[in-house]
Amino acid sequence: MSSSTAPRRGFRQQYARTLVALPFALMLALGLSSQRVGTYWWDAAPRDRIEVVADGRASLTNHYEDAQGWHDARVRLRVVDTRRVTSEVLDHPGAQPRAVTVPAGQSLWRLTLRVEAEPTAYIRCQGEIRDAAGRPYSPGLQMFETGTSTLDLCDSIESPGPGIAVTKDSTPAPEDLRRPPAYDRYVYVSMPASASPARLVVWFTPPDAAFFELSPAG
Amino acid sequence: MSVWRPRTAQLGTAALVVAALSTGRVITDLLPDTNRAYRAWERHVAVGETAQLRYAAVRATRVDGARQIVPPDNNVLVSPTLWVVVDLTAVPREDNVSLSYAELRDTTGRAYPTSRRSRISCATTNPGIPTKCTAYLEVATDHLPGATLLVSRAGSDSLGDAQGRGDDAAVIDLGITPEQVTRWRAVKDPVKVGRDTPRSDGLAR
Repeated sequence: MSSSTAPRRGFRQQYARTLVALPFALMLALGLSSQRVGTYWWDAAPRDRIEVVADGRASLTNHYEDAQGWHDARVRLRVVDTRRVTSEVLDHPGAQPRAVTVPAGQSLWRLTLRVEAEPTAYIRCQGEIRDAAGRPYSPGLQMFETGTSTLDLCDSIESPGPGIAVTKDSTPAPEDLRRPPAYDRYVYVSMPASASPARLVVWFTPPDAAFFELSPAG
Repeated sequence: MSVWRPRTAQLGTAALVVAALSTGRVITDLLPDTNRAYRAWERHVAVGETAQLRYAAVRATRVDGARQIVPPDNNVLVSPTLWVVVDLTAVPREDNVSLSYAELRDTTGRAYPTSRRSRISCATTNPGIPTKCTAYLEVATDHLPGATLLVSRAGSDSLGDAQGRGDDAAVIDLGITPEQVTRWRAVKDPVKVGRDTPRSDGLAR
């Protein structure tokens, strides 16, 4: 009898707690299921900018492990020249020039990187060149010559430093593979004749990367 | 002893739940299955025509056939049926691209995809730089006239679907005639695959 005589509560009063709890329940549900979108987040892209200071120099750090433990190899990079190449290429400054035929409709560009690093550190880095529209271009002469793919942009071509497989027990030992502390490194890239290099992106471990703005000459 | 009788509101709630579940089931039944939903977008062209794909412009330039071929690795491949060899050019649009999947479809719908013997060879090039590709596929000769070749960029993904899930693919009418098939089967010399064009033509190899 008492239930029939008790005053009926209003909708808000009756469901107030439920309504307040709904947004929190929704957030909890979204949070718990958020791992589902994790596969759509590509963490391997070079997108987090390493600062390029006013003189155009950037400091990159290669955090790597070899048989002697973990190391931090610091590399300072600067693009000192970007120019079009028409008939010959050089592997490194002072090397014997080699003739190339650039096909009609294409252009070949050479970037000169000034590299400073500790002579026995492992500093093989990756990179790509982008045009003004943001299209990525792989460096290297593989479009013109068989077997000349460029997988590294930082190490010296003339006097390379140690590779990751070189350890204390290797022959030659890491101390025998010494780069100069500073040198110029050539990087070539083929592009359509209508495009030109606008940006160089260099990284050791994505997403951290240095973005160098380029000013092509010639 | 009182008998429980549902109120009208309770009956309505139950009806709504059943209706929602039924609607969900109907929608699920109407949706295409995974293979159909993620199938490649096919761009149909003939030999010599350019298929404008999302990631590259693709054109077949030559179709040939023989019982024996010499791929780039120099090992002669002999077939009891026939090898069909198709030369293509691809010009990447926005990213570094190579064509890594090919599949010949005969007129009965049978598909002959790339495998350990049948392959597509294609250098990856920069945007705007043309690359030459060659597909060589071992096929049965019955129902071969009228066959098409599907090519796309995709390798296999996590689901093992090698055709490029939901991406563009070129489907090229190879224009093969019964006379061609007879002639190709009679060819004694092996066809050399992918090495008749010098690099100076601007095509990456």
